[in-house]
Amino acid sequence: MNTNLNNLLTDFTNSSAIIELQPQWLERALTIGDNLHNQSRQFNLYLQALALFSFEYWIHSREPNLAINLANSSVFKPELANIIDAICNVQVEDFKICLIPTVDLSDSEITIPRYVVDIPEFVAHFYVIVEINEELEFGFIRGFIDYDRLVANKKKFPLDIDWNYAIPSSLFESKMEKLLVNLQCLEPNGITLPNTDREPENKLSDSQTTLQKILPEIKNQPLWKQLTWEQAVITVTNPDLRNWLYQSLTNNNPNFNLHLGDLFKILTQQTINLREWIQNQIDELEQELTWQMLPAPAMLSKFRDINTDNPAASLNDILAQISQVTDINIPSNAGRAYQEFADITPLRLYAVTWLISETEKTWSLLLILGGTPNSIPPYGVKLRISDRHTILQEQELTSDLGVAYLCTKLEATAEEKLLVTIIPPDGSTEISRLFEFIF
Amino acid sequence: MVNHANYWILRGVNSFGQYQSQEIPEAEAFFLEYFEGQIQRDRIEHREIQYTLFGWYRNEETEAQLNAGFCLRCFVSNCIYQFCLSTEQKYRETYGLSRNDLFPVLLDIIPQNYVARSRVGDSLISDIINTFDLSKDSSLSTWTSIKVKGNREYKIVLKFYGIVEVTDWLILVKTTPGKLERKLRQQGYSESEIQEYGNLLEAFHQVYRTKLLAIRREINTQRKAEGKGKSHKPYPPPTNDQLKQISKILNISRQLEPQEVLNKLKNIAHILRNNTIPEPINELSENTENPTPNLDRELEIVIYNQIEDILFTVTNQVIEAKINYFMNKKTPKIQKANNLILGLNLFYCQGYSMGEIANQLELSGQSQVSRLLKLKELREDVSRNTISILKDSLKAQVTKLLTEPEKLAILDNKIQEFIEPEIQEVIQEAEAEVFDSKNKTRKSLLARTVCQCLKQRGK
Repeated sequence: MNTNLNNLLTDFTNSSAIIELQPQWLERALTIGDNLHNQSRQFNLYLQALALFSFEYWIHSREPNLAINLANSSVFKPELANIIDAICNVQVEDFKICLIPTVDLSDSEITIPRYVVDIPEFVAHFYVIVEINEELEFGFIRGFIDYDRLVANKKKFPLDIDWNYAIPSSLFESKMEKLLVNLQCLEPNGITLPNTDREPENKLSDSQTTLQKILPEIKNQPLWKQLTWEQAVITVTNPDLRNWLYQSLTNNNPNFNLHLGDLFKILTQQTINLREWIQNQIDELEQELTWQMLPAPAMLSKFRDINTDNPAASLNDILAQISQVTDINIPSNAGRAYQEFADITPLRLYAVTWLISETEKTWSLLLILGGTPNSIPPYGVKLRISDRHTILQEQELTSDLGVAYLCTKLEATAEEKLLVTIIPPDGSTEISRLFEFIF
Repeated sequence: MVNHANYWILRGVNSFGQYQSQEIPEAEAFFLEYFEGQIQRDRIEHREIQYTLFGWYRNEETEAQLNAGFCLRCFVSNCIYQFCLSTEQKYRETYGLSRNDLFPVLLDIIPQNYVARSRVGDSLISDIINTFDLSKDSSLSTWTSIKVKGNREYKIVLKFYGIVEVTDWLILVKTTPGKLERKLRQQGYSESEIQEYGNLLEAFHQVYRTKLLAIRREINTQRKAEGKGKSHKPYPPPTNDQLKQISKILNISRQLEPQEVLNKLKNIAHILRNNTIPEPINELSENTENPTPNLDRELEIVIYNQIEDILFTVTNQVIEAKINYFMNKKTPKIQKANNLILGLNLFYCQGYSMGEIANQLELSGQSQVSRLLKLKELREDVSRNTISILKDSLKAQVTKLLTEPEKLAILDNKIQEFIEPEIQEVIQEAEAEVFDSKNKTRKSLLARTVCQCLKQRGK
């Protein structure tokens, strides 16, 4: 540490809010920046990281007893860092802090992204300006403002077309020790933050069609150029959507846009709770969806009649064939059901589900898609399975496969939802069903 | 007439950072012995003198080396002195910068007894002398100016006085498209101009910011290979390649030449820089909005009573935390920790002045003492931690205070004033005190408590 420099700085500003940027921070910030898929935002993220480390160091050196938690901060969440020009979700004790990085001490206005002021998920109790001066290699904790004061005043100041508020620096408190007093002694309910939107799904459904078209076009452009504010709020507050957006920067698979459609269905469509099949609690709704439950194998033998269509028996036959060629082990208490679709080509989908582990919350789903008995196999039919992140599988039933049905087995955990889409070979509408297993 | 006294009058500062000058008799005698004749005949230029002096200084075998060194140091110190004067003249009126702010930064400390024979230091003056290249045409005074202007500490001083040298490229990097649009609109630019400049700024961001970190790495790698230190220009001008890329992105009917792009960018920076339209500050009037609330007088008394009980514990904790901070570093700073204890003792228990403390602890000056003791912070820390404890003991009564940041701030101020009134004056007095004044009793509550804590530690 250059003692001469430090003396100088301390003398001049009489404050230890000036922090010499340590070499390991510079390295780490570079790495964090480099790892961001969006090249045009790497520099922003680099500065954000330096601001974060400077702030953490300052808090720790002034009051080591204050608990700091950076794990959820946007710096470490690339899908957020890709969008928001501030560091949100920094936790100190019971308070949320948002850091605003700047590079120029002489700025009389501070640029605060609308995201961190107007969206409940990203607001903070305190907003702190951290200046990073790269030429002179120091960070400077320059001032702060609390949420109430910011919101009370924001309407007086410009909101730019790129969704940034321009707040005069004179509105910020420059005696940083006052922030320490607040963090250590203030009751958290002294500043009330707004609650998050409890029903974002409605807004999501409404905008679905538009967003489905626009989101794939965005790539690494800023959102304000392509979306309305409301559309942006929906996208940014939904973890799966913003994740999809981030992945779209590097995912060149032409199917990825297809996945977006599936994702919207996963987010908005009604789910079938497979657990109820096992517990034999099929509610009316599912009856309406025309799932036919099938009894367990032990019950079957009495009802076997070769000449009539016996879905249970057909399923058993198929499962027997499956168990001969694979090592799939289906427990006796598995839930079984089937559903038929008959737009043009008759199709029948069997679904068998069972619990793998209660403690680890894992479950299994076996799907068999074919035609109805006494009809030719529906060659050309496709089956696609997606989860939140990606398309898991795509299969097509072709005659050269030598089988009459498509079969797939999936395993998932408690939070996961599986979207099953059937694309009939005749060009009629796709059929999708959304499964989950609620523990 | 050329002033040759510059070669034997050394300008510097004392250990308090105050300006001082001193004649060096050895240097004077030496200089006149070799050069007087030529000077009288008006036959010698500074350049020749310096050339000769450097010859002696850089040749380790001659006896003249030391004296030549003195002469050079004196000369450079005079150049710096002049530089400080002219900088003051430039900035004093608008920014309040004075020469006295610059002297301690740029000049060397002249110790009380100047007997330094072989001055090996890393001061600015030493650096200037060591890096001066005789083979180039520039004079020593020009070289001094260059080095001073590039000196980091000098730049920091300017920065904190608000005299900031902001390059065009920094402006362009940090300005958001929204801000540019707003400024252009405010200044009455046409839609098409706003559009054009907006696109240009965004293209610049895309090309320049993206590559900035990589380019810096390249530049610094090259500098390292050339034996130079890291660049202190984090925002270099865009390269020709970058300008071409920007032009390409703009995708307009006529491709712009790199120079055109450069000029347009500079134009944008100029517009942003010279924007003097004030923000509607008259709507702010922060203090008149909320009349400063006050604390309940009875509550104050309750609090003050409680404080006396807990102050010892809190002060102990705070001092302990500071010690631990030094000791828990990767390489424990034992000396610093000890100095802190000693320093606090000298200040609070024995009433020493800053200067005397510096002496006792063998620190170079008052500023080092200030930095070590951090008296203001000590008071802040004690107050804040006191409130933290009061939270629990007086919960019901103070809850109202603790839910309003304004009230909390007042409480903090009151407590600070209670335990150590007028700390700014106390510190200033201690700094102004004559060198060896001791035994000035520090009477504040905090002072007494600190002493108690230190006494207990000593046991």
